Amino acid sequence: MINGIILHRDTLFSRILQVHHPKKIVAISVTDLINEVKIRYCLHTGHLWAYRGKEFNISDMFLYQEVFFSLGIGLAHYAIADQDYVECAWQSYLLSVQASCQTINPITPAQMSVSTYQTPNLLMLAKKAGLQVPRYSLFEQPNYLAQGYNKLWFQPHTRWGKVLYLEQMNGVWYYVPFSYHPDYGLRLTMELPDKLVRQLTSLVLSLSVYFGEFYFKYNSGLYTFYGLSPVLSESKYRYHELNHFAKTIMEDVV
Amino acid sequence: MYTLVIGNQSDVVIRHFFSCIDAKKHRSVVFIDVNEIGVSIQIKQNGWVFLSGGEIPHNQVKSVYNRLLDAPSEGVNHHQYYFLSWLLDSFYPNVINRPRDTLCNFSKTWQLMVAKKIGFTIPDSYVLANEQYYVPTLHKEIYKSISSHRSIVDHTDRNYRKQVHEPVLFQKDCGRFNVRVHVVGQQIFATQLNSKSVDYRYDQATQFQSIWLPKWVSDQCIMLNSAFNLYFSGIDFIVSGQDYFFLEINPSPGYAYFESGMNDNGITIALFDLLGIND
Repeated sequence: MINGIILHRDTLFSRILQVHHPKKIVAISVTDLINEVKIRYCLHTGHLWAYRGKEFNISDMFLYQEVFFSLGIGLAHYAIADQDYVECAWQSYLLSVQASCQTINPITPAQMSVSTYQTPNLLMLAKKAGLQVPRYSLFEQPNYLAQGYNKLWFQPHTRWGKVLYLEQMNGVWYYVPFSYHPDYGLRLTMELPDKLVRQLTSLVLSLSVYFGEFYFKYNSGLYTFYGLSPVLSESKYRYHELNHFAKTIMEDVV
Repeated sequence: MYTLVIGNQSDVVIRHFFSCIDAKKHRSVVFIDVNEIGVSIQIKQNGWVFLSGGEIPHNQVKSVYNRLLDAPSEGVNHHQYYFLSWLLDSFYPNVINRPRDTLCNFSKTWQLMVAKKIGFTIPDSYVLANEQYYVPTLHKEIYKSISSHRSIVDHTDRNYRKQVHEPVLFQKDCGRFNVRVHVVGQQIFATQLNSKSVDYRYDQATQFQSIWLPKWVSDQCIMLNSAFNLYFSGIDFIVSGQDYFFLEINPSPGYAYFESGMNDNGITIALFDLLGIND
């Protein structure tokens, strides 16, 4: 019996997710979603979908989606002038889908704000959660040792520039995938100190972001939090790490 | 301490807002033209810098009327504009309304879900995508955009294709008696709109009339405003008999249209109070 949906853009992680419990999952690409899936949604009866001869009500199923900000991939059949309207229509609909399903990585209207994942926002909330964070400066080189980046959204591999300056700390970069489930707490791919896990849990709850990866600078037992992203940087992980992470998530929800 | 009004110079709401202000008395109310950000107005980490002279530290801003409606134009410094979004979302006090909260406007189905939970009466509504639809014979139906993209609302029987591809919202037509409710803090301003058109916004003969709402409707409107963390909103109803059918909530209402139609500045004055302009 089907109890989960994966809306994907053919990433490695989505392919790995599909390997686990394949009979319980329907995987739909972004192109098929936009062009093939027949949808009837009513507030009272839920989301009825028809896809390749199968009909199912996806309300209350678990959902993993990575298409919300990539819908443009499936819009090739639409006139360019219509694409923005059509994309917004799908995003608008997918917001209510995510609210009706047990979504692993839900997006709410408020989270669509451009400020959500900005460094000033993440570092402010991280500091409130008790995490060690670097100093930062915007648009101007500060008088402490700092690296400049070309946008307000930080990942360790962000291109250098003159928009965001982050204090440089000694140490090595850690990318740590995470997933939060209300029954099982924070799932991480590496063991971190209990206090740090509690602080990170507090951070993801305050952001309402339940899936993604953290960025730390690690040096002599000290973890400095630099940011997070809701999307995995797949090239930074080994296959078995992603596979183990996917298996853990699927065991939580299937 | 300053009150910032941030938006586009051509916005009729901003023009209406400032037409009610005594410029000499209210020098601490500053208009920020969003298209000048990065041009004649710089946003620094600690404050605003104006090319014409003067600075406003961010911690000297006591309130903001946010009228950022569209994406910034090409000349605008996008990095500064994005930083402004964070200032409005998380730094400044008393922002009407915070950008992240105005995004409730992005999805009408999201709004309907929340309104239903609060107890509003919702018209029979459904969404179709990649489907054919059938025009009901027992009653009329209207169809409209599901997102914040503005569309002209019309009856389904006027659409000859009877097929949709992108998600479209269909609702039972509950009558032609529209009511717009503006909620400003805890204050309610209700206007009845009489029009023969399906979409009164496109009817130049629309007539406006101030009305009193039943208390339970007023209470629900204030609850909905709070549910979306809004200070100011415009809520649309279709009224049939005693039933108020919730249609949608607009977190950036173009209220000047209603005040002009009514020859009344009550909403603007309530906004002044909320922004602390008369303090």
